[in-house]
Amino acid sequence: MGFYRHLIFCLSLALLGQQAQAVAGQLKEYWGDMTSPEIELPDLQGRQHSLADYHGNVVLVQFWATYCTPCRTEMPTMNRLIKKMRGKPFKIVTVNMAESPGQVRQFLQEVPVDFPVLMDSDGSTLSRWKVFAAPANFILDKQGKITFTLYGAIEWDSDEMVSRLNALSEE
Amino acid sequence: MQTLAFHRSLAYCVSVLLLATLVFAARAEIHSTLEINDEIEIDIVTFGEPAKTGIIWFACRQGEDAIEFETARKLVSRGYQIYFPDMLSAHFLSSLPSNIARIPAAEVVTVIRHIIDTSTAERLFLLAGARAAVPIIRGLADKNLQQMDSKLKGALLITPRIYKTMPDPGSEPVYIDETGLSIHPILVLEGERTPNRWGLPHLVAALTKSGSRVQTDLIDGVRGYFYLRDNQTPAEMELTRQLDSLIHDNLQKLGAI
Repeated sequence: MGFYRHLIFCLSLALLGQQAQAVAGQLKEYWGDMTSPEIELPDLQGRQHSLADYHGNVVLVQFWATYCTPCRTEMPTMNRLIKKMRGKPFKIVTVNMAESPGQVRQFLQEVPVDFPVLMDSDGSTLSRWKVFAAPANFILDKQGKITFTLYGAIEWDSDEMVSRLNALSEE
Repeated sequence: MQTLAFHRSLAYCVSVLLLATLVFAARAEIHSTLEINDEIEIDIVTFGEPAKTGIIWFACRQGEDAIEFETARKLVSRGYQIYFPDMLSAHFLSSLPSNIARIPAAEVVTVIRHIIDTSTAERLFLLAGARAAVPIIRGLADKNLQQMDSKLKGALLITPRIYKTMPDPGSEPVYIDETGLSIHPILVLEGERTPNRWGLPHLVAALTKSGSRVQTDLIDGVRGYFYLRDNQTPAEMELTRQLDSLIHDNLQKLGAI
């Protein structure tokens, strides 16, 4: 009896996870304050980055953490997205959620990335962006306004996503 | 010589019997049923003898292999009596974490009041983790419960998830409607390795609206609902083994809020 209860619980969790992914993996139009909060953060090498530097580009801003399993899965698709969007005004900026440089370096050895990883060491930036889940994604238009959000992992290099980002970059 | 062998065998048998009785006694649990109405009966599993301190534990899972039951046995040896109301079986709901949030508030309140009325404990605490915190928040919102005997000393919530819906990026968290209607002390423990930790200031602001004193604490090195995960890290496995200590230590803190 106990075994079956455990089995049902695990299957239920798995189903719930699948449901969550199905719901999560969709862009949502953003209806809040469209102006994106500023990001002024260093990367792992200590170089300072500002979101203002990316003005004129469609920007995918992603908040992530090493303990987030979906983040690990989707980062290679973000690398491929950059290749597919080459020549277009499109950039990816990611912000790690207040983990130590050591933890992030170890993660990036296992999952190398082709985009900047900024360190929000005290979590103040993610608080301003109202991030309470990982990965939390924001897509900004070329004027820096938040147009879409997305919670959870997706295949960023899917034809559908590339097409939507292309359309946004041509507006 | 033969007599000596006989006595040795007898002593051995008695020892084994005594040990078995002790082990059984330690594992023993009492099953009782609370009739809510003609259709709903709720099973309550009680661990341990009557004690000074009782815990009413709303668990996502129940059963012999559930970590909650294993932890309850350890808590008994620390001097607690633990009550597990099985809110799901009464509605033929599976042990799905989201299902426990579907239990009507009135049933939760009836169960809590019944345990308060029948328990000989001098003080009682509510305990839940993850989505099972929802019935506790609903129970604590009940005005009658708030006016009852002050035997109920507060709630310990381990990595609670009381969102109405998962917060979208860029949006404030929205909690279930009963959030912020409580007056009892609440201690919230959150994993250090979960984005939900950044929502703690919002959660505290919401929970304190009607007078509850609320404290929070981060648990180093673990993710949310760490003890319920099937992909536990070594740190999470270790803390799950020590869940009784975590609960014991934090009930002491809760008692002092």
